[in-house]
Amino acid sequence: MKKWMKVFAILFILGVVGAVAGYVFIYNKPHPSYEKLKADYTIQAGELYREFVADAKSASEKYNGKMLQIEGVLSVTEVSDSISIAYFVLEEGMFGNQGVRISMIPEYANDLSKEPIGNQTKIKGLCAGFNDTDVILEHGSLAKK
Amino acid sequence: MKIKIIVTLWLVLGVAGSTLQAQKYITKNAQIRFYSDAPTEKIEGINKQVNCALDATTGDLIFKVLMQSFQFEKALMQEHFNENYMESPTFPNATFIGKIDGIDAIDFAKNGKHEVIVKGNLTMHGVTKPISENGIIEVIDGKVKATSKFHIAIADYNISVPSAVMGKIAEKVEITVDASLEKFVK
Repeated sequence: MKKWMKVFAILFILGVVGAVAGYVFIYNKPHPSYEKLKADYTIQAGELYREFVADAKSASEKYNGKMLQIEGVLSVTEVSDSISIAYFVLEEGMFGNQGVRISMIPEYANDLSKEPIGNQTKIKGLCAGFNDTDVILEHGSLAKK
Repeated sequence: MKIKIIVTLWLVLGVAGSTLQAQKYITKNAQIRFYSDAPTEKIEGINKQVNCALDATTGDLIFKVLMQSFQFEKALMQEHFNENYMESPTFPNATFIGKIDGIDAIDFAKNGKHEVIVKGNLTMHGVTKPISENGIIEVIDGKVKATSKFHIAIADYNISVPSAVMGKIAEKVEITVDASLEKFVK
């Protein structure tokens, strides 16, 4: 085989391998296992809520997109359109209850339903921000006791 | 802007001692679906933690949406949506503040389905634009289901798409709104 053909063949193979790797590992990369991610911050639900109420912009810059481990007294659990939500209610406001709302990973819905209301509870989740009534977390999981 | 939203919420929910408090409907679990149907890719994101309030007396309607609550099938799509297009760290919220035309014609005490026109201002990616869209208000046993499907041009909201991925994002994306509201009792 001529030298230029060898070079072409190697480049072609590298190109194919690169395209497949890009498709598998970049384009189709899975969502992270949120329950396995380490918390960037561990914070009391009330403290987190008060930080957002006091200065939403600054708290958003600090917490949005970060994994938070929230600790507090579980006030309410809800199921809405197959999503389980844990709610740390901290005050009454314009929308009724206000506080920290966490939508759970589906695998944790059953565990949440067994969690006693009024108990001190630790839940980890990804902070999506503050909507003027609640701090919202997604991909919640109950911390192991 | 935040003050305006709070004032509107105040008016919508009538917390200032309104005797019409029973006519306010709210939910914190409204759903908004974003769908881009481009020649080379279909992208769908769903947000199921949207705040919505409706004053059945005045027709005032408000939605508050956290951009980072949109969930996508592919992690890369979600990253691009938040970081490259919506710039969610800089513009974390989208809001709609508007009014349902002809709300007087709807009897909220009686089950029924009503086609309505909703007009108001949609703020997204730091840009506020007036919109007017068709929707449906359905009264079911004292609860209210509000739905709408419409299109927005992403260029109207200063959302730029790099030329390298131009064929992957539609110029107009479909927005589907589905809110099941319950009477607000303070």
